[in-house]
Amino acid sequence: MPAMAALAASPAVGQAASFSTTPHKAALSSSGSLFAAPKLNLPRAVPSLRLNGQSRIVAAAVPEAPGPEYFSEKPPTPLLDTINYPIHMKNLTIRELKQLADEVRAETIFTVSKTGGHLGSSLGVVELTVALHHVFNCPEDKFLWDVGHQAYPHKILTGRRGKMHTLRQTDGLSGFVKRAESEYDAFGAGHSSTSISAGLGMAVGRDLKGKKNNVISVIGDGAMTAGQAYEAMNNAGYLDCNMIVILNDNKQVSLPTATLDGPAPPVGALSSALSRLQSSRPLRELREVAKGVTKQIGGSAHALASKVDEYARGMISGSGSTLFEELGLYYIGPVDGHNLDDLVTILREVKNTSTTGPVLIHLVTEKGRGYPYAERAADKYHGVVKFDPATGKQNKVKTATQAYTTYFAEALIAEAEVDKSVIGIHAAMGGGTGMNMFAKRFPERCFDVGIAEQHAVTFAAGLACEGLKPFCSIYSSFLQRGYDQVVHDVDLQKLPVRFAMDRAGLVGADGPTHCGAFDVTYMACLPNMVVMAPADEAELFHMVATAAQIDDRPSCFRYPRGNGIGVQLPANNKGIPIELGKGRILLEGTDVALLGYGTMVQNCLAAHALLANLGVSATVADARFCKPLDRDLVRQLAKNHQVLITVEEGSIGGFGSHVVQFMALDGLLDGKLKWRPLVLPDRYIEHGAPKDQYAEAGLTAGHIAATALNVLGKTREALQVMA
Amino acid sequence: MEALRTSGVGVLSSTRVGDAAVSLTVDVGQCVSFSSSAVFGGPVRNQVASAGWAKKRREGSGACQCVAAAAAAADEFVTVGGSAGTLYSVLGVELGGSFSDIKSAYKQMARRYHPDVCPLDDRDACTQKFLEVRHAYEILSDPEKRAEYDYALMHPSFAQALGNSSTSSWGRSRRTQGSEGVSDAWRFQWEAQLSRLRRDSEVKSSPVSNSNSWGARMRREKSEH
Repeated sequence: MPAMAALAASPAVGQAASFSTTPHKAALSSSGSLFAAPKLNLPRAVPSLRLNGQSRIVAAAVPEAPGPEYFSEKPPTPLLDTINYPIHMKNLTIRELKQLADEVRAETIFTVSKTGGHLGSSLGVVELTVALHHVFNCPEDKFLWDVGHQAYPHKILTGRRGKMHTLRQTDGLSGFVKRAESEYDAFGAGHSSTSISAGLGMAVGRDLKGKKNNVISVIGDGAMTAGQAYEAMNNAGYLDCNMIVILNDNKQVSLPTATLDGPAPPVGALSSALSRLQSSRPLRELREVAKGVTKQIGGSAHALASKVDEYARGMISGSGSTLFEELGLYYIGPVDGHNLDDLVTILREVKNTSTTGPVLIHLVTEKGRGYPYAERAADKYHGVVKFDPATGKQNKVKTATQAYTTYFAEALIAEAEVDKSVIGIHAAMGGGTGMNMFAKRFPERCFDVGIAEQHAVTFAAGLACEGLKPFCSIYSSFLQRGYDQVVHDVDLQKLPVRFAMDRAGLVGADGPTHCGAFDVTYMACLPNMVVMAPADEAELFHMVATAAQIDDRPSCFRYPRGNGIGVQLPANNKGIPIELGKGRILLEGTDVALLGYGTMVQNCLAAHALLANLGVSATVADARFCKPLDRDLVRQLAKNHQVLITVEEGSIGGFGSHVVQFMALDGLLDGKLKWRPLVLPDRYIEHGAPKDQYAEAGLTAGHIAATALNVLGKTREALQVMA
Repeated sequence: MEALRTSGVGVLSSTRVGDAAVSLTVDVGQCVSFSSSAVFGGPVRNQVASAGWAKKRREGSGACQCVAAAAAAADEFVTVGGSAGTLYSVLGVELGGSFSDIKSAYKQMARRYHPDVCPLDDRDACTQKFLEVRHAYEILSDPEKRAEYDYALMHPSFAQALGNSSTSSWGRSRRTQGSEGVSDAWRFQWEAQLSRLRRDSEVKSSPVSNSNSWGARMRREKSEH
């Protein structure tokens, strides 16, 4: 039935209101609803359809079934096929560059459709990448991509097209820029807002060495909300070195209300730079007038002309120059970031001007440009899994359990329902931390501070001073950025700020830049901090409740990327607070004690099974707290077993170190006990599948069992279990 | 490059800066001839009295919106900033009117001017008025768009840069209907910025430049070798 087909085939990629003008959408919206209609199980031949008491379609006009809006097969890329390195782009005309941009765009879409990764941001900078490589000479000229997740077109054009299918996989290309991967990647990134600082360093280094290359930093408007960008611009303006900063403004600052320049008039959809557009029309005319004047006067009219300009400039900049000019960067823009003519003109002009000092070119781009589904999606297809290019449908695998992130958000909502003082804070990661869910339920109690972790921590400290209960939800690796604030503002003053550290441990495809390896170490060494880690999702609910109750000192808990294991959740998502410093024993044994911290407990349980097969009886305990440590549990394990193995998904100096410190001071190491720690190795684990990463790190169940067997002297069994 | 002659110099005086330009030109001569690039933005065109200008389109853009706006604007030289030709006057509310005021005003006018309600002979005029009313309501009822519009009323240069000198035709030639319009306004601006950069650079690289920044010192050292 055409009617049902039309409704059922609406692209359901999760976006709400959309502004597309494709025919089927227009027809649907004419019936009063902007949302994609859900699949309807209706009897055939129903002329007027009712759903929830509302007519779904206008009876007479039935829209055509919407067709796919993009290619299903990768279109031929004749021009891109001739480009292996940027040098092959030098002789292209503007028209050919435009064609190349289209081909690169298609290549990006089809690549990411097969590997998953970041899509929207790359699509927004295709023209910029093509223009940069055409005008400048990478790798002599340094391109610094802030964060690096928009560098897929850059990788395609710099000799890595053939390897793009290995993107974000074990032993494959990194999803970010990486110096070790290619000489065309000038500076590694993953965290944001570092490109201007590094670029300035490279510019100064170049000047000191007497070289002549260009340095170009590409930074987004989201990354511009971080303090480091201003620190860098302030310094760049002062040093006055030649360098180019390209501000890629796609209005995707996660912070919806502030503008780049702070208290600018609320012009909503427009960027603040646009709101400060100074009409240079009068300047143009005056310049022409001056030309006319000097023609008539002749002679030393230069002084007069410059005076006119001075006058004009003074009049025009009556409204004040932009923030960037105040910081000492020469501002050019705004520029249409998808117009290759404009981009090449400007870049060439700036390149050929010998003495510029730092220049900031403000590009306005559209995230997800060129792929209709991305343009319409609320998240602009920022991060996607494998999808079908023709329909934009992502292959989201249905799992039995949800992500720890979701469980955390639900737990926090449950706490906030009963306690009005629970507040949520995050740093531009509403999706990744699950705080968008919290914000939906409690819009007035959720704060997104932009990419500003330092500010987020101290802001939370301020809230705690007023008697509120702030939950700072920041990724483990991103919290590194706010560490001094954790120490100085929160821990030193013993303010009850709660830190919910998502993405603790290895994170899979994102790689070492996002890996939360150090949080146990850097949190547990702080004198007043309560440090805990759930072994499964039910424990996570309990720990959120526990943290909500700790009102006299700071606390934190860490949980990994990934899904829960499938245990029973507490009723109404409301956890029960755990007694501080109390671990638990899950399985009793006699020979070996496996003391796990966090989700590594699950690996310990698996190791228990492996050991049982080989006749070794193991106790499995979940420490729950690294600080305060469950001393009785440790004493008990130490006294009743020959071997104690502590397992954690963190670096040296964390849980295991605290256990052994205690044991040493308590005299537990003076007897026959053999202690072995299992931690992340002293090197960075590259991106890849989680399975591969754990194998590389030596933290699988097999490794735990093998360690136990080796210590017990059963080396042959150890090899057996590792095979 | 097209050379255009303006007949009405007085037209340029709708901004403060424009006034200054006028006083200079009047001193030097009566006719100002200025060249504009083929990709000249909307702002100046809207100011020109001669209707023949409306026919000169930008190369390669294919967008009709600005031309339509120019044609519309050519007929109405409303001073930007007065409430006479604004969307507020279309609905009959004052500038600071609340949302409920605007809504009830819209409902009233819509009921009065709806084509189905109109007497047959006034049908066309009524429809025209109704469309205007609806357009005004569209802009003023959306808080974001209204904020933009209010800002434009207060800052005429801002409106010009977006290619709308006539505030009653605001929203029709907007970038949302075609980004070429605003792109061209921007092009005007960054071309000026580039030429200033070039000039500043010449000043900076001259040996008598007194800039004492680290970068300038390094550049001097390098040029000395």
